[in-house]
Amino acid sequence: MNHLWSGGDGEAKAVHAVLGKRRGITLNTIQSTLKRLYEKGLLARDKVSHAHVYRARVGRDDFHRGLVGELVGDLMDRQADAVVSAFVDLAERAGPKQLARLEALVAERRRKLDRGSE
Amino acid sequence: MTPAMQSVQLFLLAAVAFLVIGSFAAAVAARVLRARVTRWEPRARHRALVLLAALPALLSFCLLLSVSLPSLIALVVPGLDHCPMHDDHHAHLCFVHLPKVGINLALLLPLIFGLSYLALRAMLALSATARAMRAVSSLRLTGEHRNDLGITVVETHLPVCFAAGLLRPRVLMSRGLLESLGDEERAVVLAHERAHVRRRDALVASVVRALSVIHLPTVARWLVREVEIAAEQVCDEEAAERVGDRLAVASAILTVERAAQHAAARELDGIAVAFGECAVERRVEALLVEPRPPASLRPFVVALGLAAVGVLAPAGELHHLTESVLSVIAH
Repeated sequence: MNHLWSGGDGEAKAVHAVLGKRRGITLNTIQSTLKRLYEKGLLARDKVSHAHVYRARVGRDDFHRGLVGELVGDLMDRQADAVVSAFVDLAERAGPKQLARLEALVAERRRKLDRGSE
Repeated sequence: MTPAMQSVQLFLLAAVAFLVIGSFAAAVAARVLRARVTRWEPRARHRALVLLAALPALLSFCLLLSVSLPSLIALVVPGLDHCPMHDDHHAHLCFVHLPKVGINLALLLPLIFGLSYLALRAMLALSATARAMRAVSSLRLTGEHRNDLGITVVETHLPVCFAAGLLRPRVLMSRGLLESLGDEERAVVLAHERAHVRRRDALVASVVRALSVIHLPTVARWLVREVEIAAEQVCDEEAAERVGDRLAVASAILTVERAAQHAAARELDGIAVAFGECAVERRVEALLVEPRPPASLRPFVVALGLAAVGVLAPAGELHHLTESVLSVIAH
């Protein structure tokens, strides 16, 4: 993804030439990785002659935000409750009526307090 | 099978039986406390619930110590040995005379199955904890450290703020929440989360979750939930003391809850959201009344101490009774 985000050539052979040789990854691995990223919707591709040329479908910032959102979502899942103490639990919602009732109670109490202090 | 292995089998069976007795005792205690404990001040309630979570483990430890006491004494003073009263085929719970009988297969298999089940539950819990810790560490690495606020800001619109980590917890807040809160609300949220960090609530919750495995399922669910709510309420009280305004804390909870409702409607597809009985309601309602006076846990601790003495005092009789029951099982 970093290679494509920085404007690198999106053909599998070109990616292999830049990354594969340096990291000891075969052309097949590069091809299947690009295909998997395409299937996940992270890359788009065009057929040029006999080869697919890949390009990033999401920007680096959006990708990062999505990843962080996913991690936070995982943490808010009940399985991680023991590691995380959230101010308000995302996995548990008060109903709209309950919430409206509580907001009215707080507003009412605030009004009483303000009247008392005048 | 060697006498040493047979001895291990007998001690294990006794330990499992004591854990079962402990879990039933805790279920009775939970039934008695259930209605009363919700009226207690949150700090006392939290401590009482943690003690209740540890009750089966404490009780079974005391029982095991009690039945081992005659044998431990015999190690030091051989003349006080209890074993010569019985023949070699008695199920000796003894470190001096190893038993010549083991448990029959019909009991051994459920024992192995039960222990394997507990080990599997523990491994699954450990793996979930490790996954969560990896996620926390990734968020801390990728987030922006705000030294002025003492938090890590994570780049998401989800309205979240949490203290994460077991031994060295840190406060993480989403960019979305940080930008949407006013100064007073932000102070409340941070005071609340810093209280979690000071109290190591995540570590306590993990211990309670681990101990809940040896409770009856309904008691375990109730205990884990009540300990979490009590910890939230303790931190609400500490935040209220810090900012000097209980209504400001109630108001901040509702602001974040409202933001979470919007997020639930928009982008929480991956998270199973439970509507209905909600901790927010109890927390806000508790903040609308005057704080309860601190409750003393002395009667609770005295009762536990008396129970421990009651279990340890008749060590000889308990040792004899346990060996007799194990002998019947072994034969």
